[in-house]
Amino acid sequence: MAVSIDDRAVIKHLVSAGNDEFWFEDIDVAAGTQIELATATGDIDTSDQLTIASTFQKVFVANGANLKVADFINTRLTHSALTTAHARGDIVTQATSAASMIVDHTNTAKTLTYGYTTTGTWDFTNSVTGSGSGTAFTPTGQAGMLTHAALATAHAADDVLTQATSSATMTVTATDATKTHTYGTITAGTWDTTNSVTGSGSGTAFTPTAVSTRPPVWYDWTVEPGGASGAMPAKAYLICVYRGRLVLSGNPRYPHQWFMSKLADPFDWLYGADDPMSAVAGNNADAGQCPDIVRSLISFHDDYLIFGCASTLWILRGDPVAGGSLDNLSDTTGMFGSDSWCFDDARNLYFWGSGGLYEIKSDFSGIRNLTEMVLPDIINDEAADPTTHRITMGYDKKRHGIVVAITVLATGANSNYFYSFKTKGFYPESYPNECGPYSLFYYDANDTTYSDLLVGCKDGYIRKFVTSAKDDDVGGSDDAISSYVTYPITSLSGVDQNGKLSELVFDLAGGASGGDAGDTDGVTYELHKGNDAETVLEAIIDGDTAFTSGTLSGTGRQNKIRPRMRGAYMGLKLYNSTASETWAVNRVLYGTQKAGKVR
Amino acid sequence: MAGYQAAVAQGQASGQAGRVIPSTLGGQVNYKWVPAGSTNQWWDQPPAVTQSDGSSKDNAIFGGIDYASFLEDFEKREKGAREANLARETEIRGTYNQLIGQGQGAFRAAGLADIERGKTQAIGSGMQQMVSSGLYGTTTAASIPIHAENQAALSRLKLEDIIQQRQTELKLGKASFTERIEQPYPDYSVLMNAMIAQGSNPGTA
Repeated sequence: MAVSIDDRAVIKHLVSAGNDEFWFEDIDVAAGTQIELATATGDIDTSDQLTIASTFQKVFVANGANLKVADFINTRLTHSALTTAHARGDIVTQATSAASMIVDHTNTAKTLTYGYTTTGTWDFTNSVTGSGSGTAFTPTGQAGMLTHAALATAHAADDVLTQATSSATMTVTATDATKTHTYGTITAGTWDTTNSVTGSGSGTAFTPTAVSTRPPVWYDWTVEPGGASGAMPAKAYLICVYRGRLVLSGNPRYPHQWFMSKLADPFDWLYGADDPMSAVAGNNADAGQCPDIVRSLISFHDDYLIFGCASTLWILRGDPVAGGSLDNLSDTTGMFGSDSWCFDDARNLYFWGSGGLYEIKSDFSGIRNLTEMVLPDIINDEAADPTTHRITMGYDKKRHGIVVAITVLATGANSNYFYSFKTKGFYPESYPNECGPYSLFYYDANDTTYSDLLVGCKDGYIRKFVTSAKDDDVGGSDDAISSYVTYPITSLSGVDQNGKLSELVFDLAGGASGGDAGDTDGVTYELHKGNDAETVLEAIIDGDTAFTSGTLSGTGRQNKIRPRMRGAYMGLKLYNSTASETWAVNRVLYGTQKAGKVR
Repeated sequence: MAGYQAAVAQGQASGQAGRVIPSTLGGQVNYKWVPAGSTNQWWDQPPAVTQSDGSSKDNAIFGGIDYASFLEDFEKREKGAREANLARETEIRGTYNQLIGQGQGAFRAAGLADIERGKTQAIGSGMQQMVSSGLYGTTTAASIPIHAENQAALSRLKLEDIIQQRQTELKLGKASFTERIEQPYPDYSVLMNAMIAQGSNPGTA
């Protein structure tokens, strides 16, 4: 028997928000290319905190009072106001055309019905009736998007587009920034890609290259009309998905409170119903105690939800309405912000907390401060303030570590760390201000070419780390990468004895010049000396004049250097700040001689 | 015995209330329709009996049997039995009425109190559970009284159902009792047998 398997892979769209705009990756056009969801432009305020969560093939946006939905699955039908909206799950069917959809949502005015079209093509002449008690209607429009070459002049909102021959019409809602996508409401006819389209205004005529009757639709996130679905919080800055519920928090009026929608129904916020699926709201505190302010929502699948609060941590296991439990994880450690956490691939959680970078093992066996020994004063050093800084973290599974990015929101100035899982070490780094990370996200793209840790940058670009790149991209130009390594301060002799550094040999990376292995560029070394280790380190940090320095070039073993440096301790710094250069060193060898007591 | 049907037919034809009365003369039983309210009937004053020599004699004590007393006793006993039956019926009806009339008040009150206790317990244990699970500060805790009240409402419905079921059973019992009540006609066969027995043993004149 022949078996035909039609692979239906999960399709992912990367979405992003910036400059008060909302963008999405349309892989039907080109993977890795983002286009603007023009209907969303201006509906969000990216100068304010904005968090998003994706579920039910929609993106839910929490941006203060801007609670929005970018819906990637539903068709939107426009009609006159209904007496009774069609309930979620009702099936509406159109006479004659036999088009049918499963209703998902109706707007507050009951003039827009959103649903998943299961069959047929909707028209604007036949009546639509539902399987429930909703009022019958005849659609007056359907959401649509026309793709075309870049227009000289975009068609203004409310202009009416008419296509020759097909006589299809569409009322324009918005055009994207590149003027290649016109969004609107199709009101008549069937659009094609052969006939010219002209507008009622001054927009440029075009012939569509693609027609979509199911573009992503953007709408206000509201409860279902009818008065039986409760009310959403007026504002929210935090969002996540947990056990099929949308979780909101960060309402400035109730910052300690969290809110969860009804299970599998983001449009039902009727709390306290005698129903295991009911919407629920609550806070994190022992009975009778004042709750802490929620700063982040961290859900791990449907297993648990961690509330990162200002000075405490709480964990919700299971469902709060059906036998779940809420427990305190820490009474002493809080969390910095909404994005200052990430998971690794072993389900361990890392977060920036009150005392530095912490790790919570997947078995919740304890909270470990990773920086308290190696970077004991990191909190004061960074002086990050939630009102002026954003700390965002991402697990880089290609490079086996975590990026901790601390960015000044206003300027993009940043101070970052790469925590390597291989060396268990912290590598401080900073990027050009244009590249100041506002967000970090590992994107497992459909096209693996685009899978990487993505950095949403201050200048609006989405960047990624490229191992082969020798400069930092700052948009129109490149910046040289400045890098250095300070070797551990080393004693040149025995206890309280001077020594003489008699020889020094460097093995630079790359093997022979050319060949399979990548060749290093040049690197400069500095040698510092002192009677105690801290003095040497301080001299390096302060940029004091070195005892000796030099620049190495070429690959492999370098010529032996005879520094003849006398002292108790030596410090070695290697660095390179030259444009279009990167470097690597395999090992450093040195020889010493005794040189008498330290005086 | 054939005269009995004729007497009954006579009574039916008269359209009046009355009864069929038996009498024995020389061992032969006769029947006669006697309208209600008739006075000076032969059983009150038995007819004179013509003797073989052509003379007649008073038959008040016919054949040595005092039928008047016999009938009086019979009726008295019958009346007594009927009155006893009526009294018993009245008593049973009264018991049924009392039970039905009670409206299961005490049962209902006890049941409702028990439901309220259960509701309080449910709320309390639910709240305790919420505290234990750390969810006291959620609307889940706030919904516990609602859940408890819904459960209590269900219990109240069940209680009402039980009460109604019991009421129905009582009413059905009363109806069944009423249905079983019989108002027997006087058992004249007993009377007849007694008279026949007496007639076969004539007394002395």
